[in-house]
Amino acid sequence: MALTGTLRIAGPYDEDTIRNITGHFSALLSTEVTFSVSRDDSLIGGFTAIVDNKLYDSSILSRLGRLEQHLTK
Amino acid sequence: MQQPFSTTVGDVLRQRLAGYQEQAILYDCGVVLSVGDGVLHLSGLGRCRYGELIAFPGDIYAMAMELSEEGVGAVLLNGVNELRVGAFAQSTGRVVEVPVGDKLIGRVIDPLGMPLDGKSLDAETLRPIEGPAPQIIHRQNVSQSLETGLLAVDSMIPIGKGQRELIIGDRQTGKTTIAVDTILNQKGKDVLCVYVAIGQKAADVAKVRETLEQAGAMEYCVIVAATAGDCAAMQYIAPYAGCAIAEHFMVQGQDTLIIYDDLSKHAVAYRTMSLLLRRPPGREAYPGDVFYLHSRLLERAGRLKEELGGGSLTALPIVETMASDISAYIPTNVISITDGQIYLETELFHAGVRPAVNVGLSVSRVGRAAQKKAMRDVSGKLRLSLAQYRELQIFAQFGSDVDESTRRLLAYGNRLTEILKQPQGAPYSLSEQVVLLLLVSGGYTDGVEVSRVREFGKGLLAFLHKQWSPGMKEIDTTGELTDDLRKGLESGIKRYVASVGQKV
Repeated sequence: MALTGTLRIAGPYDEDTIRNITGHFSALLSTEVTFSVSRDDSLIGGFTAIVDNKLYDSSILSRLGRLEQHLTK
Repeated sequence: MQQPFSTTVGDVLRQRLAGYQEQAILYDCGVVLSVGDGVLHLSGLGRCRYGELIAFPGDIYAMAMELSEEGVGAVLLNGVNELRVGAFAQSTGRVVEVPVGDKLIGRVIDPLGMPLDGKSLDAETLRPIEGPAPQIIHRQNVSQSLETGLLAVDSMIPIGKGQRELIIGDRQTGKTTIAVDTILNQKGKDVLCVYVAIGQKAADVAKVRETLEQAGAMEYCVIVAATAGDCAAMQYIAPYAGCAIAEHFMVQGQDTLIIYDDLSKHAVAYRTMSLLLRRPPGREAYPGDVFYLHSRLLERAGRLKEELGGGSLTALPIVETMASDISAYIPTNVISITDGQIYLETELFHAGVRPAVNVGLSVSRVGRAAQKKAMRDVSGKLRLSLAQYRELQIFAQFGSDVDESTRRLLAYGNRLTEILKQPQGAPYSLSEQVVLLLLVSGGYTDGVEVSRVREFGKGLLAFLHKQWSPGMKEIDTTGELTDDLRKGLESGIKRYVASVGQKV
């Protein structure tokens, strides 16, 4: 069954990047995945993808957040 | 960690980041299906736990309250009007926490720990609002008294440290006043107080704060406020948040007092949430677990063993009755959970008996053991005498002739009732309470007009503070009324009576 999801990317992006990410998720979930893509500069860098009730967060914003938590622990 | 003098920021970062690995970046995610009245339903979030915080874009948070195969039901803690259908939700893996510690003392906060007094709050420690009550083996008996400073309460319905004593009565009978007076009386006694306002008018909370501020009581007090304007979820978590704050001090060995003002409004807030979450309504439309709602909260009160610091958490929950009906659902629940109740009556209040304590219906199940010896010595038959007086008073109202012993009992009861009246915000010390009770029970006021008894007592206290101050101090510090002290006190009273021209 094909899945649809939402992809948010920081900064400018091209078709190749989208194709790479989509291919990666299709392989990971063993099904065809399509994304509705939007640009979100608040992520600083990287991307977030929501698919199949899961949020894959690979943004610089969340990485910095986790780093902050680690340093102030 | 202590660092050498020459350490740079880079060194510290390198040291702290040694061995740091990026953790998983996969979150459970859901979508808002419906939202209304602060309650929302979500799809997804398959791994969400009960009570878990759910985050939405724009720093909006909700708490998971209902888990089912269809999805998750949650209550919004903020941004009630900002969330839309289709918004993404993310589980956080954390439960609701509240800041705790010394920095909260003197502050007014909301149940999430956000300051409401216009100043910033920089508390470092957080504590989950829900937590297990102290275990049986970690507790010790209630054996120390917590004085309210109210003669009627301390003498007949004594409260001990670690006890749960309900204050119950109709609206406008002085319930909050008793609670606030108890806080005021803790000044200099090393008891930290937490006042939790649930569903109260913001103006009333401001008034309580002002009273505490003026009396210098905010130095040992925290106010947690979820006012009538706050959403049901905030009112629901308020007592648990307040309890977590007090509990933090208790585990550090501190004596604490917490006031829940009031649990009827808390139950109403929970009923609102439960009905919106489509839980089946039970008696009075409350959900089935409304008993557990309050029992798990009040079970967190108690006194810890000395090995664990010996701290205590005394809880004074307040419940408002409708038309004096103490057999309604919530009052009976809370009465059965607590270790006694102080029942306030509208008729007494309007008759000028303030605090309007109904002695017959009020009880303290464990406090007697904690009462100071001096007080126990002078208050032994007080309850019985007063109960007999109230009963006889009803018959006497018909104007029938009464015999001499009944007349004497009525006269004694009148004077006793008069001496038990106490103005707001004027707590008595132990020695003062002992003096006043001895004054009436010793028959020293028999020659005094009933309307002048209080004035007479006040004069006597001033006289004794001046003429017999070491004795008064000794009663306060030792908590005992030795034979010598009793003789000294009686001779002091006689001297005063003689000086104002009354016959003994």
